[in-house]
Amino acid sequence: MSFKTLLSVLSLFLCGMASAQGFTSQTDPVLNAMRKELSRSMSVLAKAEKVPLYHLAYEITDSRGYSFTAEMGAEDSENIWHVRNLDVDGRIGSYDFDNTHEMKGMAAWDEQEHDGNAITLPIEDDENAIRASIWRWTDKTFKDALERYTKVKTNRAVTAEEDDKSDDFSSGEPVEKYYEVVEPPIIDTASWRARVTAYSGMFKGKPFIYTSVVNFSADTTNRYFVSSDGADLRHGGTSLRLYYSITTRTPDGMDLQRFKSYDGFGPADMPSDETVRADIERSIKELEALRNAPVAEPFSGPAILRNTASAVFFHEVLGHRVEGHRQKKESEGQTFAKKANEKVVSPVLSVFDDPAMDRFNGVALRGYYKFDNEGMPGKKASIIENGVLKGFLMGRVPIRNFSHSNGHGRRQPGHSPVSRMGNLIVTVKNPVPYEKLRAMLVDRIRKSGKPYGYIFDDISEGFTLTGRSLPQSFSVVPLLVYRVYPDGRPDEVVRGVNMVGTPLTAFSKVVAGASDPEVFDGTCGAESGWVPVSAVSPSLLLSEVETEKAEKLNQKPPLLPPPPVDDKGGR
Amino acid sequence: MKNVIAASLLIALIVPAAAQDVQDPVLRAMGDELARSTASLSMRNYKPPYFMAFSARDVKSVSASAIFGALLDADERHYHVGFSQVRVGSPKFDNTNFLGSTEHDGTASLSVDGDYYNPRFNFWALSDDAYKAALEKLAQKRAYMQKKNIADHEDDFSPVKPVVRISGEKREDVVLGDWPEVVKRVSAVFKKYPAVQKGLVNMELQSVVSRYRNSEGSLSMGPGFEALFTIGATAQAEDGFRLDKTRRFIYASKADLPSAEFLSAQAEELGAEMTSLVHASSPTAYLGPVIFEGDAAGRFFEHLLARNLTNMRQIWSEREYGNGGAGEFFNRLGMRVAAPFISVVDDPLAKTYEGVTLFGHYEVDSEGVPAQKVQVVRKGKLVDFLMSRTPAKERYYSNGHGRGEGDDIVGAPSNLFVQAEKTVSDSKLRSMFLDMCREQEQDYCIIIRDIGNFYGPFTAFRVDARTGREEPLRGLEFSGLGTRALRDIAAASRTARVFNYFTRNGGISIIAPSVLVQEVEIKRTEKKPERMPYLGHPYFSER
Repeated sequence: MSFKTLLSVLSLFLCGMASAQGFTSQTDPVLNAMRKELSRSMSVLAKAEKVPLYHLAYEITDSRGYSFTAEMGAEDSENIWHVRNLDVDGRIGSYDFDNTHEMKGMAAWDEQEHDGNAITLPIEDDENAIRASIWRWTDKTFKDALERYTKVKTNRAVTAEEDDKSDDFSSGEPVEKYYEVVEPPIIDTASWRARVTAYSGMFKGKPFIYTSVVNFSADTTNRYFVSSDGADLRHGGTSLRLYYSITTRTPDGMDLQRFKSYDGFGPADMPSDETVRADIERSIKELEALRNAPVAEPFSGPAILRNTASAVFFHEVLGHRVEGHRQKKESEGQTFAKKANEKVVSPVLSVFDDPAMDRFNGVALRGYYKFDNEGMPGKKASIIENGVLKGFLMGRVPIRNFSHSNGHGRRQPGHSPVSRMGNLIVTVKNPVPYEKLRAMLVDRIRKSGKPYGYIFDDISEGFTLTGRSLPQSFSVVPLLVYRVYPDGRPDEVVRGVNMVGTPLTAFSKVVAGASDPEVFDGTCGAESGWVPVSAVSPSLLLSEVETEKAEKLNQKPPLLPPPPVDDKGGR
Repeated sequence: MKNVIAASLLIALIVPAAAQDVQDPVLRAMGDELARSTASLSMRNYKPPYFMAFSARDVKSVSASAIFGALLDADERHYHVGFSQVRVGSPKFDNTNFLGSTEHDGTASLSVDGDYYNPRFNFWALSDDAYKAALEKLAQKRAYMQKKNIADHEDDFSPVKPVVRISGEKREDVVLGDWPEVVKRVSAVFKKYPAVQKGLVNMELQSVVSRYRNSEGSLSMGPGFEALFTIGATAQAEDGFRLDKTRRFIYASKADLPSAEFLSAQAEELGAEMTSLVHASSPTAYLGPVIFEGDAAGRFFEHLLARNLTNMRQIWSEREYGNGGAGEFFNRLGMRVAAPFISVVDDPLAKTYEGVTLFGHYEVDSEGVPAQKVQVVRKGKLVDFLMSRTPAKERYYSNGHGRGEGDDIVGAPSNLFVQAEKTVSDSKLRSMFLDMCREQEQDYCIIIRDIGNFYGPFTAFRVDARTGREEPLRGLEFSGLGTRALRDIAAASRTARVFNYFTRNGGISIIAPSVLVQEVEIKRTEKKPERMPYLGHPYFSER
């Protein structure tokens, strides 16, 4: 049997395993292993030391997936995986003060990133083996928690008093019980292999493309959760993603990229062959145009943020600043902490985050989930209503005036949950058609006397600094930017643009929006690891946007062009 | 598991370089990009490289692991890694043998489906990066030489005649088969040993095709095979001290793979060993004779001999680090390095020892140079070096021992045979050991049978000087064990064993006897015991 045939046999085998069992909540061996260890552990550890273990939770993340990557018309790799991770969350002390309390001052610098609280578990439903691993990891977690409790108790005594004295963990939350089995869909791997390989071949023979990759992946996750509060859950979902990425470099040492991803919950959500091919052709043209584009000078003036660019912008600049736990961390900037019920942004804007939404206008939302990683149901959190701050994204860490979770406590296995975004939805009052928004932009440019304005068409990533030790700023890297002239000449692509500013100022400058909301599906990284998210926004008109020159690595482009494609080669 | 070169080639064709029509698409891609680069890869005011090489490792791997009778992971992978080396300047003075301020990581992922263009594209990208990095490094090296006022130095690259070797052997097939069932079964053995807190079993088989091609016309391609099985257990001694032992088995041929019965028996032994270690004592200090037996003998020679025979060329570097990265023996040619009855031969061409396939076997080294058998130590004296194409102070030419990938190729051992002129039976070795013990008026002496980590802590056996009775010891570390111990070898056993291990430059086999060393200093580790678990193991507490 060839290696490849065996691979597909293995995948069918793994896919078949789940459906053959027909488990219920009562018979599920993984849950039973977790329940038994949880009750056994709590009964001893609750009173094992002077300070009680008052909360214990187990989460097992079972991930089954497939991935295929191609480059330059050939297969790079094909992988199938099945992995289970166990996270143990233990809290020692009491709801008002426990081992997770923030460490302040010099001790905070000494403290290593306390992540890595996860181990892998057997992928078979063997209760004895699973319990043995849970036992070992619970013991380690308890000992680590005890140690930290002792340290943080002294730290609190010797450092300055905290401003926000809310509890360390919320009490009185609803206890959820839920059970579903999510099975991997049938993936036509032969078809995807052929498609991905063919797409990667479209980048051959373009002398300005220096790196390229195309990847298709499918991942089905089942999450098991039990806690000493009584929560008892099994739930999950499937995520599919097709993406491509191409890069080039200019003679002046600037790296440029075009990237596109297609996300969905199942094969039916994936794009047609024609759509992908058309997008690839367009991306290639855009990359070439970018490479030949002039470098943008620092600028300040009116601009449009196109829908997906705006979505990323809001994720970075607003979303991270309304994550609940940040509002009371002494090391954080706390931009919005005390501004509940104040006008904080332009009155045309409303923003909410809703993990319970699975689609927007039919498009799959990557940030969809039923329960967060603290066992709380994902709920709609209203952040901004007509410019006024109404609330925050909350996990089970209370903050001043907000003592309950709205189901936003999230983590990647191996990290402790903190409040994170799910699906961030931005809406505007009185949206206009995009053409009208563009006309409004041109009007403003003319009135302002500026030589041009900007349209930010695509932003793939950004980062934001929320900590106190650095200026409260953001820098978002737009990938495709056009200069718009008031005299009607065609838009001109420019490169090397960075949007900068301070959050509060930036948001006050939104004057209008279009009726063209679009979904940006992505992955967000922060202190609790990488989690899938989405952001939705219409195109927005800003009265003033500030830009600076983007950093470049200043490396030389390749000295020789890529090898000729039609050269069949010598000896 | 570390990536290792194990290019075992059969001489199917020996032809003068460049005369052969190469079919293999990856080799053709290498050759075409080499031709293009050496002709045209240059920047204004700089010359093209005077030498370039590409290599690639195409790996099919299957692996599985299990814990407490349940499958933890089962995986099949196929990956292909490409490397490049670019030399600018001249063979007398080039960009190598110098640690610059920026090191360049030159690897690329190549296609796995036999495509021509994908590897060619990747070699193009690799060589562009490597050439630019090489120019910068050469400039830094020149500046360093001027700053340090260095007047003379060894050449950087010695010449060889180009060689073409394409093996007629076919690549081994590797399948997951029932290996997942085997590792599960073996891990289930630990269900009989309550002392073991965690028992983990791993296996991995790798079937490799290695390719090499350089701008001088050397070319080689051939299959390789390597397999690793590990059985690991952790426990705590009665005072809470953490015990951690792993049994490792490495095989260089599919035919040598162990049976499930063998592995299960190993797990049983390990379970029993961990159980006895729970009550083992931990002496504060020891000074006296030691027998290094079996695997421990292998590790002894790995740490003190093989390592110090690796890389005989000191490199220049701003940062001070021991011997400039060279093995300790780089300046001991002609001097005594071992007891006078010990000789050492390194032979890459040896394929088996007592029926077992040797892990260090190859026919052509990583620079395309044919392998040679080398007598390194004769009657205790260091008489030769294991050489790559990098000249050392007292040896210039390669003897086919250049091992590694890309920019990281050094002279290294392959199959290292430690031979003793006079040997004794195992029982005679033990009685000599006990005699020495009593002569030195010790209550007991120590036998070491495995050393997980040379820096400790490790376990051993206490042998009562009067009765010969053995008891386990734990929490030990060597105190200043250096190459002197090789000269303190008092006796060697008649039977030798094969000890296989991985290094970043390739797989190595040490074929060595058990040895009695006159005087070794051992002390108790400073690692502290840990608290015992708050709850009992769920499986054993309920039975």
